[in-house]
Amino acid sequence: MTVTRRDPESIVLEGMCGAEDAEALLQMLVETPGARLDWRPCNQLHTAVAQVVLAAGPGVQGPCGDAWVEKWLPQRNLEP
Amino acid sequence: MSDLSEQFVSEARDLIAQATDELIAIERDGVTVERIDRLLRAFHTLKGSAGLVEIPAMTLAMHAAEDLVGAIQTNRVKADAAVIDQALACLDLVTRWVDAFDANGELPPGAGDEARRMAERLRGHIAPTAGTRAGPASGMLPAWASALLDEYRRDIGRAMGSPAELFAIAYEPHAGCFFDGDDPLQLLRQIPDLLALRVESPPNVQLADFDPYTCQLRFYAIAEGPRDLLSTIFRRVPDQVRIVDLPSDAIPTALGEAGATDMRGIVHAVIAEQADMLRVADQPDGASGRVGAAARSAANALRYGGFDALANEVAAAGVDALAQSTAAPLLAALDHALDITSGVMRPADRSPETDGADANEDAASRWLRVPEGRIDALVNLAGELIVLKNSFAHLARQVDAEGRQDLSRAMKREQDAIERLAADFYESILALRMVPVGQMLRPFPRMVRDLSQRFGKKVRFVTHGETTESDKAVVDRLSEPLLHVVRNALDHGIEMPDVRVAAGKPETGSITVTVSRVGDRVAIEIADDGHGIDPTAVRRKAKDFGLITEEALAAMSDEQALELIFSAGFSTATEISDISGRGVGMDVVRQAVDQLGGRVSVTSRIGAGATFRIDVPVSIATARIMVVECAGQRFGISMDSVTETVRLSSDRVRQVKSNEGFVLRDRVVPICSLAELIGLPGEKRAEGGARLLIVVEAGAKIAAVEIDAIRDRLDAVLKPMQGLLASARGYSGTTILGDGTVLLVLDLKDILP
Repeated sequence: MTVTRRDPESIVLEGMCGAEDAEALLQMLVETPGARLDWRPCNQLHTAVAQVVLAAGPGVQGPCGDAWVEKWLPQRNLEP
Repeated sequence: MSDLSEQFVSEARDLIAQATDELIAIERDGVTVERIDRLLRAFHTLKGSAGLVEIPAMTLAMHAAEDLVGAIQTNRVKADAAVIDQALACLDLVTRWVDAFDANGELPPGAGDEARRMAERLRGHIAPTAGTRAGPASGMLPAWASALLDEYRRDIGRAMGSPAELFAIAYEPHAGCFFDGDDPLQLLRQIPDLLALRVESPPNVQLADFDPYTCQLRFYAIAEGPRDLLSTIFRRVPDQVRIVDLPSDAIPTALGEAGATDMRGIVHAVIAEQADMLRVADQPDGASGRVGAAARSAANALRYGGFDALANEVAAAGVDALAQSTAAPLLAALDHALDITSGVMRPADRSPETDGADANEDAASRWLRVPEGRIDALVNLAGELIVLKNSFAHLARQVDAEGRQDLSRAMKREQDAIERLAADFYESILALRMVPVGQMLRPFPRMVRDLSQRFGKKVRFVTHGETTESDKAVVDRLSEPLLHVVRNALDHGIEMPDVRVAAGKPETGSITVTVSRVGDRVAIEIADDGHGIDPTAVRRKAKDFGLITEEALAAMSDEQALELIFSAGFSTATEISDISGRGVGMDVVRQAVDQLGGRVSVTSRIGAGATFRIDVPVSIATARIMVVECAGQRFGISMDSVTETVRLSSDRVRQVKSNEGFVLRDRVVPICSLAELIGLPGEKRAEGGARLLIVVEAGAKIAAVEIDAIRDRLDAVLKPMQGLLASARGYSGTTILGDGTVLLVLDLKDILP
């Protein structure tokens, strides 16, 4: 499991976040709409996870540990 | 040669064989998605491994081959004989290169030019409409591409180092693509020179209703070519991707413009400088000033380069560093920024081989590649263990003879355990050498294809039971004779298409190889549906060549006459083709099979075809043989049965009744002459000389067999006695000596009095 809740208001993405993490992440974001997402420890993001992040547009603690995602994924709807 | 190179050579050979198999299968049975996939994978891996050992010529050729296969996959090219020929020719070239690399560690001179010519020829088969150089005019671009271009024109101009081929890519993954194991971002990551990417996600989503496993993203990208590289990246999703050339004038010439220099490079350099400065001067006095300045400079550079998040991170790390009075947090943040601005990604991100499908497949068929020599060494060691085990048995009996019953019983028990273990061990090790016979049949489809093309014949090559296993030594030694039989069937058996049609047969002939296991033997049947072998013609030839007398011929049945084709110097072909008429006939086949302790036979029906049957032992156990001389003749004796050899002075020989004997470790051992045992006229031995004896133990019996001399010790493959001799007592078989003479190997245990 690479999606964990650090405290009630923050969710951490760590290591390789595979497709199977998308659902867990979505669930947490639905439960806690204002949660902040710390994706610095994550080093590879699957498209399924990325699309949950883009859809939810949570506040993020970056930069994203996946350098490619940090560079290329649009972050305009992600609050810093 | 380094491990990497060795691995490359063996892997490359496997991949070439795989690709050849797939090409032949595609030509024979048509294109299937799986075949093309496997073929692409083989070429792709060949390309990748050529890159690892740095042979760019091979990379170039494989790249072009991959493009050609990609074009077949997308129906732009039809996999006709010419295309398959070209792909096979490419594999031939690569085979030569791999051989050269194996021998000399490098490719032959001129390989680069050969590679370029090969790549041109391969690409020549791809329809010229694909990848036109000039690029279409701006007005002809699809709307999405024009919009993308307008949006990113400036950024691209800044990022591009030099004018290059540009492409717009629209990647609209299927909604269910995650279930196919696709990860669209993973594909996009592989684009080496991505210049711009627009990711479209659905607006105003209700999170509660969001289905995370339906892919709802669309990707639009601009990237530098070459086009075939881009096509290769997206080869698995051709229906979801459009790649269009962007006109060369679409982008303002990058060179010479103010923003031309690579922005990332500048940012990277600035940060690197700050990090260096901090590392050199990480000391308390005046550190705070330097840390603050470094953090500000780096953050500014990052913002300037558009890396806002990174800039914030660096600034925050600067604050931390000041608070803790050490530069460490800032240095860590700078290192991270350096990573990202250099565009260097972790190896795992870059490898195209990390997709899930590959990983699963590897796990499913995990093999350990072991050099054959190491297995052989194990077999030999196991053999020695067996010998040692035998001497242990002898020791136990000796202890018993000395009256130490308790000890001897214990030894006997342990000896039984060791004996079982050693036998199991030996068997398991022999099993290591078992390989599927299919391995040997691998080159056949290619050979049959090429030869039938040359002869203008149509032949279908079918194999059954190729998973049957046999000792590698057998498989290796069978491949030559089998090749010969198949060539013969193709050359002399199968008729020309028009002849076949006229005879009411299907135009395409067939050669079928069926392998099966019968007890501890492997039977291989090679059947063709050609015109068969004419016994009358065989008789005539045999007579013409003087192989046999007319009387003997007349006494032969047709079946027996057919067997004459295995005689030395026999060939039924009226004209000698360069395929099977190389001055070697079927006698070579018989000889090779004989040496394996096997048999070969043939049956035939005129007009319906011929069937060759080869029958060999599953494994060829080599026996340690002692060559002895007796009454002027040489015989083999299996070393297993020999306990020891003794040179005995005549004064130690005692007369026991009518027999001679001597005392060996308190035991009277009768002496018998080998010549007498096997009924040879023994010469009278000169009185008084030393006598040479072999002590043999068989069950409770012990005897010393007298011989004249020991000539040699050798490892040999024993061939069981055949025909009339099959029931002869006292022989365990025959073997052929280095000089070609046949050595009868005696089974001494069987003939002891």
